[in-house]
Amino acid sequence: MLYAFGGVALVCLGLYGLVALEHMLRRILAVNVMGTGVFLILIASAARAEGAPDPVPHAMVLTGIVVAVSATALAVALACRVAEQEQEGRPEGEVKP
Amino acid sequence: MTVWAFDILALLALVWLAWRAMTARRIEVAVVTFLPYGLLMALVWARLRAPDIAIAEAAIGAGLTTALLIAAANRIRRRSAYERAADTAAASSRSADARLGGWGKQLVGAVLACVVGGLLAAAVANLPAQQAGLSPQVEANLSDSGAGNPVTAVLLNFRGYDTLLEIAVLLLALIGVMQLRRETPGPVVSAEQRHSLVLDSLVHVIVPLIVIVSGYLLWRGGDAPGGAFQAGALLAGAGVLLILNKQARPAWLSARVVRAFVAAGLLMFGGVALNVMWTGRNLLEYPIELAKPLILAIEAAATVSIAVILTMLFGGVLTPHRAPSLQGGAS
Amino acid sequence: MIGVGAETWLILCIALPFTLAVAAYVVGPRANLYVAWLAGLAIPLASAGLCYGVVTEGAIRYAVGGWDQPLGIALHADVLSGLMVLLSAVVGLVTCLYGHRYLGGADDASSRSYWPLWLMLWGALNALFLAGDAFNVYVTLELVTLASVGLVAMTGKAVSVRASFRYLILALAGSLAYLLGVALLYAQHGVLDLVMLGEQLGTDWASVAACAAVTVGLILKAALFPMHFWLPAAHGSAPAPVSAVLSALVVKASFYLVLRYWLDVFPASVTDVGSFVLSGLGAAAIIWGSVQALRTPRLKLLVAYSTVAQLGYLFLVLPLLRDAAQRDAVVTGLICLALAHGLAKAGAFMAAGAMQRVAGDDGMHGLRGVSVSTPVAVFAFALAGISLMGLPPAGGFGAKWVLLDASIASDNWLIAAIMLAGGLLAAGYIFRFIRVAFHTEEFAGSVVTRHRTLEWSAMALALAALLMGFLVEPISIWVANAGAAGTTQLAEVVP
Repeated sequence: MLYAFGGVALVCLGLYGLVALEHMLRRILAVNVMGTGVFLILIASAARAEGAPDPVPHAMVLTGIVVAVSATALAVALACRVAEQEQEGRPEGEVKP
Repeated sequence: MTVWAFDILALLALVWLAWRAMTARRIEVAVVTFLPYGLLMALVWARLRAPDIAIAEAAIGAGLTTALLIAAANRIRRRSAYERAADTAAASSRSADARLGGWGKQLVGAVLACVVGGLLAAAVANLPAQQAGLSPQVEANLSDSGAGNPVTAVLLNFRGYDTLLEIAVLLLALIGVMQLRRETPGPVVSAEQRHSLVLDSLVHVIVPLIVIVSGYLLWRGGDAPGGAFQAGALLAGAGVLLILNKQARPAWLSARVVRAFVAAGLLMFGGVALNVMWTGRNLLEYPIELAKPLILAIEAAATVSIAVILTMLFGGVLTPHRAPSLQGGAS
Repeated sequence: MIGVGAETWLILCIALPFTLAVAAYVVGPRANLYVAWLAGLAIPLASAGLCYGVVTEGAIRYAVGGWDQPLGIALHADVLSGLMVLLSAVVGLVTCLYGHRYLGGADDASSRSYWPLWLMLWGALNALFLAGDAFNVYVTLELVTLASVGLVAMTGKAVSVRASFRYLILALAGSLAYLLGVALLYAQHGVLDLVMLGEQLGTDWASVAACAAVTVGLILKAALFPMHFWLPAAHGSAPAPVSAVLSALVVKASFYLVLRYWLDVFPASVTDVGSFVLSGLGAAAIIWGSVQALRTPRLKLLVAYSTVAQLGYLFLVLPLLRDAAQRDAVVTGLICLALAHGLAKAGAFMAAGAMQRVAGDDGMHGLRGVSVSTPVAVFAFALAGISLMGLPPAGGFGAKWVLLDASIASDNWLIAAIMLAGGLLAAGYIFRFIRVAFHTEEFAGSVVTRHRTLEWSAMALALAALLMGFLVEPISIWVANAGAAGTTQLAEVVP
């Protein structure tokens, strides 16, 4: 159960980072940290039972890891594009909502 | 006792590494810190008796995610160095990775994290001490699933629908990343082929080794830890090395062929899922006697797709332009 | 499975869009025309078949892989999900037409990924509406997110890329909060099937925390005030057919899940405080969104802020669900409001897109006198506005009438007052644009090039929103019938 509390700590760290950090890559990192925290809670609570651990959360986390890397790749590509556009200083119909 | 000590040390190290990865002064240090974080996480998964996740985390969470972030940090920094020549002051003020937002944001973040943390900790503490979950059902039906490894049975049979949609997630991310690449080469590109001797020999030794190991992971995945995701992720590692080594794309690997590889997993999985319905079965309901070969076929196709997609995701982030190398082609 | 039963339609609703998306991806732009036609014809047909089956035969549960719950994943179709699938079918059909015309002339590179992404989004939405499993919902949510983000970033313009990055980060945080809730639910109850979870949930601390995590994650994605800040930029900067789908369907998907969870899974765990907090946020969203819509300098941002306001209504009336006597009426009202808003808002965005085409820009200033050039689009916008304001005979009127009735019957006068005030504010921002469109000054944009398909697509949706008013009565009957039969859901599991 100790690890479930570790997961809670990671979720909170990620949440703090998401709110407080401004650099785009750091925010992506914060989301990833938050994600591993959630996974840790899932697996730690599956490991409570004696004997072989429950395979369903394991499958869920495997799915979650693949989803996380897909989203990270898209986020990173977007971040690069934003940074490049900012440095090139092309407003392209800049508008403040 | 020593196990307890390991647990506490591991958790403290995890939290510390997570903190460093988010807030290290230089962004390059921050993203590199994600590598030990992911590796330690893999150790923790092994400690929690989740070897399948440990392999996937080491390959995807630690390896590929860190590679993506480093590539991005380089790309962003390189651009700003290029700009700095023209306008030092403006570029440096932008690229000075404003570490933290204003005091207001920090305060809100800290308060929010504390409140959520308290509530969550209370919820976790209130969880029942014993909950077998679905393992009895998985156990009871394992012999009909066509896979000996319960995690593989869940992923490809009991909850195969999730996995099918998940491969679609990968494809979506790829389409999203590829459409962001530019048509015209930016100033980043240099035509020179920088072959590093070390990297070259590394590639020659490691890539074949990776191919063999991932083949083994795929084959053994039915009964032991491993399977399509782990094998695909490892293969993608080989692909990333080939890209970094600026290996030329073989001529037979045209854009169309690459797209076919990308779609192979989804087509095979979806095709099997739908075709079993002709005999009056439900979606994804494999005939019991065919379950094992069907799962192996799906896993083989999925491995190829996952490997190609993950490689191309990295390639798409690494280079903002259309280059005649491995990552070119699709979209 | 004999003949083409409702179950086959159910599978087709999910399988068809994904298959066509993969075909569009593999074959490339050459297939666009065929894919657009096939998707526009086949998917709405399957959706209508499913909806008909659900209404005539009652709720369907489908065991994917033939594994019974809780081991396997269930697909679940009832009146609520069937109507949401139908809404995506109607909006999707028109979007196929509109999108083909809108992007056909555009540069090849920016529209190349449109068809795979949009069809994946359509499939993901259908899969989400039909999901009966908590973790499966998570996967479909991520599919919806990644497809939407890809579509927003499609043009590659700086504004939209930045908006899509913010949208992605926020949506990922929302998904993780949702997954956290699912983790707590599973750790406690050991099942993921929504019906089974609903039977086991109680008022204990872990259940309430799970309920809170799931709800917070979903309202983050549904852009409920004050978590709405990502929406106007993302919806306002996307190409018009994408904005239409995002505002009409994607935010609705998250709201649908909130409703699904609150109706079927959480009734025991939701507290009065929680539902009144959401209601208060909904009220704030109505006021704030409308005021912003009255002030913004751009037409598409106006429509996007209107979405923030209209979403507020959906959350405003949630406390009424706690009153068992009003439950059916409130569910009817919410379904009708979601459908009417979906149709009207898609119509409004498409009309805005058609006007933007002739004016070259969607700034209010440049659109002065636009009615000279695109009379049909302006008329469609006004018709959609009637539904948004809630005037008879539009769908928005019927839905709000039912909800007003329910809120007065349960003595929630404040909710009724806010709904009426919201209608007035909506009239304000709709007429603000109508005045601009009929400005007597000469129109600065092109008067020659007209885009009839674009204008009439918008008109079709606006008319559909108007005619939705006549569907309120049948929907209330279907909801009442389903409510009477709803308790026997578990007995109907398909082996």
